[in-house]
Amino acid sequence: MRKQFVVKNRHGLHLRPATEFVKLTSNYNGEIILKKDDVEVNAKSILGILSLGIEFGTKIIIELIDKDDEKFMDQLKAFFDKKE
Amino acid sequence: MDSTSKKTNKSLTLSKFLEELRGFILLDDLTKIGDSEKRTICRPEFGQLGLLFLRYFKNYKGGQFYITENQSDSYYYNLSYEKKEEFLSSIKHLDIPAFIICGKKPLKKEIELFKKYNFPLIYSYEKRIETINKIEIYLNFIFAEKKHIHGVLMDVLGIGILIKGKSGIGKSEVALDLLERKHRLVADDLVVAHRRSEFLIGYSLDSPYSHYIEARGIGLIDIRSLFGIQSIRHKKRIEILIELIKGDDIDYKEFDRIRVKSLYEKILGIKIPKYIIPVTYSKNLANLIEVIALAHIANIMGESPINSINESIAKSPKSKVNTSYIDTFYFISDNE
Repeated sequence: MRKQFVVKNRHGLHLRPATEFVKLTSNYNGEIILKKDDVEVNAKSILGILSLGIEFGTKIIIELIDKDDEKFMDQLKAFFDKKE
Repeated sequence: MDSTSKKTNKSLTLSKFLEELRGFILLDDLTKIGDSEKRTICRPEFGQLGLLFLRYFKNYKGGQFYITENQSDSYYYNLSYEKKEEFLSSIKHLDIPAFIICGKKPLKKEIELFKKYNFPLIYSYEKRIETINKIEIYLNFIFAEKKHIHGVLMDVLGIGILIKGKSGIGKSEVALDLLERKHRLVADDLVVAHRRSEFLIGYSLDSPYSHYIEARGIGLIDIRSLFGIQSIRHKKRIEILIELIKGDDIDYKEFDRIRVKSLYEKILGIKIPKYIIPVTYSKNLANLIEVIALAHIANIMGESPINSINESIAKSPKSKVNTSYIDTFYFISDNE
């Protein structure tokens, strides 16, 4: 299951939002992949996400590998829609 | 699926090519046509100039450079102006990003001719052989197959070791342990593996966080400032793959404890020796990894424990009558 999101946080996914994001993804029991352009990282690793340098307005794709979870995707949507 | 693969199928624009090679090789855009952002290079190899002269366009694939030199390509330089024009007009439908010229600088008249047929002419101040060499190195790097792997890459005793495993199993902690033993970190969390002929080169993505480690409970650790410049490395050939697996997840009935058959994993088509280490409490993983590196070095030098045991079995005499006699005699006569 994969879905595209747009980062609406004005500062992008910098340190604090990235930690929040990893906190969120750690709740999911299984493998998650975050994709930007053609680079794919494990969505549970802070360093991987930080080194992508995701800025405001970047399109990213989240892919759930192990099992589909509609509810979890909604949580992610709410996270990426946050402006601060 | 722990890692993901992506075959790079990208193309490079001429303007990016010129910009990135600045400082590495001295190139001069003579024609200055100004559409270098639209021109793309799609292939890491050079076109055959002779085939253009023969007007042989079968199986032609666009997006290649052509390199000329006024001495070796004297065929072109001996043509009259009209013939040159005829030649260029016969190839104007081809998608050629640029002609690179070495040796003597072309005359203004000639530059105008290339401009007329919309072919950029780039002059290289270096010799043809060096120009080809440098451009090939760069293009091979850009067009190489790349793969992003979730893991830690360390240089242990000169051997590039990639440590993989599920998140939270303790990869970063092992890396810290190895750093304490004066080994060097190449990349944490996101390792870019890139194939160069028969080797796999690993490095970290170019970012401010490239030499950081994230350990649970501590947070982000800047390895360069804490452990010094000796503890980091920019790139390293990946020679061994170590997979950390939870001790409970291993089926010991099928687990090969002596490694009679070597285990391999293919990354981008290259076979990398793989070791699976079950993680349990009270196990010194850094020590194990050091020993693996040592065993690998010994293996390269031709010393393998399994081979030497096999050899010693093959050498020993088949009948044991005599030897057992000597043994008993030895024990009888030995007073100690």
